[in-house]
Amino acid sequence: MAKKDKPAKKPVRRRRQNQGSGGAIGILFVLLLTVIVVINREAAMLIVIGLIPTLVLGITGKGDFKAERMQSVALANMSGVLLLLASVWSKSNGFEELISNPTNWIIMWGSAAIGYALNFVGPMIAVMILQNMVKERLKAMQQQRQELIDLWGPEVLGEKQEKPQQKFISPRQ
Amino acid sequence: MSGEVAPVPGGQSAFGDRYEVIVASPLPEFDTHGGNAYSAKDKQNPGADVFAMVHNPTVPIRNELFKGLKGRPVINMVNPVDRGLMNVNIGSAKQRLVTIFTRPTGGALMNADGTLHPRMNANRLRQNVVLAALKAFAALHKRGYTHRMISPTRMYFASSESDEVILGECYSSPAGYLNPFPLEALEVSFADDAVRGVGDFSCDYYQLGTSLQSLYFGEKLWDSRDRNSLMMARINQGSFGALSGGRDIPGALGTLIRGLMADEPDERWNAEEVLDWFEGVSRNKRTSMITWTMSRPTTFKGVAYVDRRLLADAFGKDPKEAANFLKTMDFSSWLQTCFRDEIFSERLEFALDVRPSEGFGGARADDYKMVSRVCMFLSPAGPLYYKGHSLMLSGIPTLVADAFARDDHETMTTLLEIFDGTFVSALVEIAGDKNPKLQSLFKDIGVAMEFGSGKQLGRGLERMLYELNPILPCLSPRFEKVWIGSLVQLIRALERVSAQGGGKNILLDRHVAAFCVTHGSNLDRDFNSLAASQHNPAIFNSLSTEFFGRMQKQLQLESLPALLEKLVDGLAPVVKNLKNKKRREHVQATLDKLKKSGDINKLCSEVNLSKVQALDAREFSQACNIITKLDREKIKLSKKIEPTDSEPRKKGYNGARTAAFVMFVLIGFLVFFRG
Repeated sequence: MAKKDKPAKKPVRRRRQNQGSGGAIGILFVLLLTVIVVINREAAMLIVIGLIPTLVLGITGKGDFKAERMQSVALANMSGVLLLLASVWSKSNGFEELISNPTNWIIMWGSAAIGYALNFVGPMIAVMILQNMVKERLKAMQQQRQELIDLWGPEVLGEKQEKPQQKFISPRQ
Repeated sequence: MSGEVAPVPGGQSAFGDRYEVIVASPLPEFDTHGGNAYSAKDKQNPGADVFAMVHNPTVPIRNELFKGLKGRPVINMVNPVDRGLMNVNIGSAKQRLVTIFTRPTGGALMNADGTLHPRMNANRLRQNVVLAALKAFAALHKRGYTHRMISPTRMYFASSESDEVILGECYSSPAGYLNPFPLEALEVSFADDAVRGVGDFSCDYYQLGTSLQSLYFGEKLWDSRDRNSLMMARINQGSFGALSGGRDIPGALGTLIRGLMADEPDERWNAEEVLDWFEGVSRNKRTSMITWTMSRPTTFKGVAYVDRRLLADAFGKDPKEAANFLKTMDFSSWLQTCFRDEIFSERLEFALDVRPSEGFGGARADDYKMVSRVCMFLSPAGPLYYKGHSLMLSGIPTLVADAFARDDHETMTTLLEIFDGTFVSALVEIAGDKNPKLQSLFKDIGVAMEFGSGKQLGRGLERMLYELNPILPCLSPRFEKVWIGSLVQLIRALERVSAQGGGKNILLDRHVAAFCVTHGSNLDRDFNSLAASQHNPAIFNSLSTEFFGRMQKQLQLESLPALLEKLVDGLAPVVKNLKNKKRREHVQATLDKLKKSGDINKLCSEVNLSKVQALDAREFSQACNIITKLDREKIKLSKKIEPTDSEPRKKGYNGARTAAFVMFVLIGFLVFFRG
């Protein structure tokens, strides 16, 4: 019975941990934003508006690796917001002027799209890299196996002696 | 099989070079059961009168006598001068142990056909023979040895001119071995011919008495005598009267012979009385207080016995009938009536353990032992009777050798039955008080007999034989042409066998194994391992090589190229069984390199096959495990990796996060630290 209980407990614990870390980051973000509001209200508004894609992901995101995915999107999104944040902070451009320019929206939210794109492409690239690594590993293993057979003879294979692979020949051929 | 028989060594030994045995000139008057005598020449001392005795390998020699007499000869006796191994051509060429003796040339006092030497007369008998024997006995007995081979046919005149009488040698066969029973003192004459035991000094005086008697009457008084009737006559009339057939010897000589032939050892004359006799003083020895007469006669098989020794002998010679007789009688009341003067304890009756027949009264397994116990009670100083045999315990080693020579397994099995723990203690309980040596004799011989019941290689009857008779050469049929008296000789013979292509599995020969274990130190375990691996040639040959390597080192033997070559050939399956190709090649190369050197020990230390085999097996097992592991991993890795799999996703998201972080840091740097 105890054995059966164990696998059920694991995901619960992991979910709680994830929720905990996400909650902490959220609180940190709110605190930082409060500080920025006190210093520069326009900058804070720009951050909130600019980080809407991240916030949406944070609220709606589901499944495994949510934290990693969100971190990628958040970092990419923040890169776009940073580009505009400097001019708002230095008051070289007015907040309304920035908002009214669609290019700025594209910069801020487009950078979030880059984050999404990275999340999309990342596993594919990882598959390519892993496949290459496996290929190399298989090659090394085959070599090691052959060396052992050469040294110890086919007896080392035990009962599963290497049989020559028979090619399947179709009756039609 | 001819290749399996060790050939005779090529050249003669140094001993063989010095002495020449003239096989064409046999000297039957010096023959004994232990060997045949031939004329011989000493090349270093051509004038010496010597003869050579070619020993029979199946008869143990009295080695302690050779050691005691060589260099310190006994006066008036044929003394051994030298001995050694020699190639002799008797029928076919054989290597045999040859002993060179001083040779009396005057001829035997009595020929084998019973005719007296022409110079023999009563005067010479009185003066020369008695004096010569007395001198020889004095010297021998002083050194602690008995002669036990005295007979008129084995007494010689020193030369054709001299009246000096010389006693024959007594070293070539065990004491009293196959001596005619009338020539043996009564106490040992009840025992079988081959197992009379060591005896004591008084036995020599008895033999002198019978010899003098035969020489006086000029006939072989011991010849063609029926055992039972003569033994009965000896008991009833005394040995003197029984042997002479009622004839008397008048005068002082008769007194001497009667004294020497007294049947009670306490009454028998010895050196002191004989010297007194020479001086003309006739002193009768005190009469023995021992009585062998029963209070009432016992009739067994129609004969009424009064003497308990005769009854014991009758029981012992027909144990089945004796068992029936004992089982049907009231044993307790028989004891009370026949041995009225003796006090019987319950303990003694318990030890005798004579039980009446039960049920249908069939033969019981321990009936023989019951008869033996009763015989021991009747004749405590006499032989041990068992299953028709009568044995003096100290003669058992000789009996074992004799049984091996006759291939008589039944006797050997019978001997093993005697040395059953409870039976021995019962016998000691019954006769220990009257025969104090009994317990120590059982103990001494019992140690060797324990090996007899073992079935393992290096144990069994063969081991018993060599433990009891360490002087015997190895009696394996492979060595029928050579004399193997030591491990060095054995291994040298094996070298010769190997040189002619034989010697396969020689260590499985039970004689060879038993001989090696007896003469080597701590070799039991080696032979146990060899026996355990006899069906696995690879391990067996490897162990054999290690055994011979150790022997070569321990015995500091010279190079043994033929044996090594044979062993290396035998190691082919071992090398073939090595799984590691490189190791196999290395071992083979080392074996090939050392093959011709003949240094087995070096081969063992350089190759150490047991260690190599163990290492190879261990590493092979490890390699098998690695292969299994690799195959399992290969199956695991051969699965197609999908972007939806956990691992690529994790790695991909981590990569994406890293890329995003780099982008963030870069843009942050460009934005805030541009100016």
